[in-house]
Amino acid sequence: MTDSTSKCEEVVERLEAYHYRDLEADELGPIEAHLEACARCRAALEAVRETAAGLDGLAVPAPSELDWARLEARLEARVAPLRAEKLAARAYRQPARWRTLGRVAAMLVIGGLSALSATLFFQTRDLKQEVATLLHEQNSSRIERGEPLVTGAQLTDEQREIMAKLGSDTRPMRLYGLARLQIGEPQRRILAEFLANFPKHILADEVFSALRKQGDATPRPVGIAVRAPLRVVMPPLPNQPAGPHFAREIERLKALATKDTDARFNDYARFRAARVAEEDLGDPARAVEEWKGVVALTAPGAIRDAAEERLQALGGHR
Amino acid sequence: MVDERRDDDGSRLAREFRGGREEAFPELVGLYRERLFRLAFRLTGSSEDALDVVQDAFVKVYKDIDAWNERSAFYSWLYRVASNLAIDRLRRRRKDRELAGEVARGGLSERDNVAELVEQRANEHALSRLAAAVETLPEGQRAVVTLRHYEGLSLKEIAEIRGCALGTVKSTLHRAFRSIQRALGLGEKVVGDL
Repeated sequence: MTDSTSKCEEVVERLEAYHYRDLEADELGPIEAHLEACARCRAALEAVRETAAGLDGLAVPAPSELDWARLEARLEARVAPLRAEKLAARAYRQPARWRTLGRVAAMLVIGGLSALSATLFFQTRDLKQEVATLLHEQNSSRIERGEPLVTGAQLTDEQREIMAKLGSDTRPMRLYGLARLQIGEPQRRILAEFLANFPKHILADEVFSALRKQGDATPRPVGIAVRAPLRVVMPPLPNQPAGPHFAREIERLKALATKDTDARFNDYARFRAARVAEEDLGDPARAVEEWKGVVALTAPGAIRDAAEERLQALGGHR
Repeated sequence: MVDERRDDDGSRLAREFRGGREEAFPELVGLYRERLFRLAFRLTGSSEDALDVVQDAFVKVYKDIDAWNERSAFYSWLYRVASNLAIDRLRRRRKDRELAGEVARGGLSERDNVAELVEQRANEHALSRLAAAVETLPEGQRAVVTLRHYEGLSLKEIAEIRGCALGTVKSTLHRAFRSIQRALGLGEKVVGDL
């Protein structure tokens, strides 16, 4: 290999950068001097230019308006849950700015998620596990004593911050557990309607059945602290007889109790069904029947003890 | 000039979006979607893939806007995101096609006969030989050609986006041009002899 060939190789390797004016100032001089003297390298530069000119001619198709519309729709479908998550988180961090959303979320949390009743509970593995874990590992003995099920000491800093924000709106409520719930734009709209009609008590599955009717059956999780009283029952709709309503509620809770793999959840769902029978339905015979069911199906522990106590109080027998 | 102004707008919108103004996001999409589509199409060679890449890139923007360092223009970050997504997609698609192609061709690989493959692609897709030559470039070379020639990024910027040395980008661009020239029979005597 001669010096000249070696120089040519060096120059040719930089001709693309030269063509695109992408060389450092100190590289330009030697290359231009070489090109002036070397016909072969000038021909190589010409080939580079021809190639670049050819590239200019390659067309890119333009997407149609329909393509863009589809893209926007798909993008929105993917971004909506992220937006909901972000807004929900911000609602707690910036209460003044997002007061309305915060209130909606808090109301949902207060009234809607009687924590375990949630349809969400079954739709989200994370949620299910999270609540089940909280109940199972931390709270089982607290249920009947009416103590908060999760204490501040058990929360992460972020969760504590969320709970502090919720605190002002939910003082009379007991902290029930931490669950996850997504609130997207359609959910917020529907929740707002529900809240207007039922300011105190909302069951999440009622909310989400409404969502499903509107074609949104995919609540996805975001981190929201759930605060709820031990007993939250959807009140009968206006002009609806209370008896059948609460009877349906009992059946719903009992049906929930058959779906979960976590025994503590099932126990508690049955426990709630019996509470509804006793206190909301106001049917002592039905309550005895339900409490008996709890005793029969529940493992020894706080829930069974409480059920036995209610049975005795109502004059039922084991 | 237009692009510079647009990129200033893009960085401003991205800052606003990061600061919490949700409305800035669709504005960013509107500002960059066509440009990203062109980039993605050049890299993937498919409208369908390109639209998917645009979508994925904006989802990434939404999720990971905090990963953008404001010291660089927003579009550089966005291009990096989109070009990486497009290159991944191209790589996956090629792997699938190569497997299918090898079966169809009885084991012939690209390396065995580039000219034959270019011919085949040109026939398959009714593309010009040049388009087929670009399509058969390895994804790294195709990315550098696209970013340099069509997107007008400097080799230095491309090195940043690709996460490699400037010298590597230069030599990749050179190899890409030589491959195209060889496929076209262009400058073969001049370049090929050196």
